[in-house]
Amino acid sequence: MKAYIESWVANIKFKSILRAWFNNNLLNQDQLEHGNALYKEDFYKPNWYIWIGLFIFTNIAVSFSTTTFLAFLGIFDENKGLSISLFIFSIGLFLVLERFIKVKKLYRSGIDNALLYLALGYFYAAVLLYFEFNFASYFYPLLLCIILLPACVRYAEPLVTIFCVCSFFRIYFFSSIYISIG
Amino acid sequence: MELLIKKLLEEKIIIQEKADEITAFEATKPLSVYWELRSLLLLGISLFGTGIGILIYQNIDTIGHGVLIAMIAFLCGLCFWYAYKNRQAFVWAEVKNPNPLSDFALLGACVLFLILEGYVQFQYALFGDSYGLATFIPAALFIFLSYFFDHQGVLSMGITLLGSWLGLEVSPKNILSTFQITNSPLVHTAILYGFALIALGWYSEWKALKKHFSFTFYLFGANLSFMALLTALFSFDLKFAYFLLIVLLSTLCIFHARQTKSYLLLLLGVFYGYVGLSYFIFHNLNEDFALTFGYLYFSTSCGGIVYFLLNVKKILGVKKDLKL
Repeated sequence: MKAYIESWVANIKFKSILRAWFNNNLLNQDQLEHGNALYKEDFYKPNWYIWIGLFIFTNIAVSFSTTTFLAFLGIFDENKGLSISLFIFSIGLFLVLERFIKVKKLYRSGIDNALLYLALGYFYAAVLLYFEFNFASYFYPLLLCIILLPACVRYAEPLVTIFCVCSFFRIYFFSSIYISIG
Repeated sequence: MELLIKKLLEEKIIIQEKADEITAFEATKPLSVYWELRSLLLLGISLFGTGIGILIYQNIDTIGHGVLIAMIAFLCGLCFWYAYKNRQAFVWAEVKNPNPLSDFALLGACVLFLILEGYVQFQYALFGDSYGLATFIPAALFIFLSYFFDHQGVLSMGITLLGSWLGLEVSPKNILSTFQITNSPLVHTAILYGFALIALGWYSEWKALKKHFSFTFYLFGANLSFMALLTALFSFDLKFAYFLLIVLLSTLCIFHARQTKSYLLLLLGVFYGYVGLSYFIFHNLNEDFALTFGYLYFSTSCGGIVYFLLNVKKILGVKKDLKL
C-alpha cells in the first residue's frame, strides 16, 4: 500500500523525539545513541541545498529526455499520439520512482519528489490531450482529484496532498454552483 | 509517546524515574513559538520601514520635513541606544546575545539610518552629487557595527552597500543615466570584489577573526563573482579566460564545501559551473547541430549531476556517517 518502508518513517519521528529529549537534558549522550540504534532507518534524506539541486536537475533531465523522445517520434502535432506517449512516459516514471525508492532508499530526496510530480503531471496531461480538452469545467478538478488521491495514499507527499485537497474544494465549489438544494 | 518510553524501559536504556521525568516534561512542556515570533519580528521590522516610507510620502506637505527628519532620527537613535545598552562585550569569537530584541533593534536602527540618509539627501542634497560618499558612509558604518555587535544581517547590508559604492565609483555615468550594467570596468570590478570577499572569508576562517562571518563572505563573494563571470562570458571576448575562471571557482567551491561541510557552496559550485560549461559548449557549436545535440546534452548532463549529488560523499571521499 505504501511506497516507503513505514517502520523507517516512524523511526524518523522517534529519533526526532529522542533528539528533543536529549536537547532538554532528559537523556544523556549514551542513552541517545542507544535509542538511535534501536530505531534504525537507512533512508537517503539529503540536506536542504542538495535537495534543491537534485529536484531542479531531475526535472530538467526528465523534461529534456521526454522532449528528445517525442522529437524522435515526431508526434508533436497529433493529440492522440502525444497523449499515448505521455501516458507511457508517466507509467515509466512511476516504475523508475518505485525502483529508486526500493533500491536507492530515497525519502523526500528531491529526486522522488520531482519524479512523482512529473509522472502525475504527464498522466493528467495525457488524459486531457486524449479527449482534446473537451470537458465540462467541473471535470478538470474531478479528474485531478481522482489522479492525485491514490498518489496521496501511496506516497503521502505534502504538495500532492495540498493539490488533492484544493481540487476537492474546487469540485465542492462547482457542485455548489450546479447543484441547488431546496 | 508512551510506546517510545515503554520500549526504552524494556530495552533498559532508561530507568523508571527517568521515564516519569520524561512523562512529566511532555505533559507540562510549553509550545515553542520561537520561529513564529522571530519571523513576526523580522516581518515587523520590514513593514515598519515600509510604513515609515509611505507615511513620509503621503504626509510630506502637512507634517513638514523638519518634524519627519527629527522623528526618524529619534527612532533611529532609540534603536541604536537599545542595541548598545544590551550589547555583549566585544570578542573575536562568536557572541550569542541572550536578548534577541537587541539584534532586531540594531537591524531596525540600520534600516532607519538608511531611510534618514536617503531623505536628507533627496530633500536637502546633503552630499550633493557625491553619491559615492552617500553609499560609502553607511557601508563603513554597517561593517563596523556588524563586527562590534556581532550581527550577520548588518554585515550583509554593509557588503551590499560597499558593492553599490564600488559600482558608483567605477561607472557612475552608466549606472545613473543608462542603467547599462554590462560594461567591462563594472563587471571586472564585480569579479574582483567577489574574489576579495571570498579571500576575506578565508582570512576570517584562517585567523579565527569572527570565524562565523566567513559563510556570509563566501555566500556574497561566490554569488557575485560567479554572476559577474557569467555576464563576462556571455557578453565579452576572451571567453576562454572567463570560462577557465568559472571552472577554477567551481572547483574551489566544491573542494571548500568538502572541507567546511557546506552544502550551499557545493550547490553554487555545481550550478554556476554547469551554466558556464553549457554556455561555452553551445557557443562553439553550429546552430543546427546545437539544437539536436542540446536535447541529448541536457538530459544526460543533468542526469550526471543528479548522480554526482546523489553520490557526493562517495565521490568526494567523505565517510558516509559524516555530515557533509
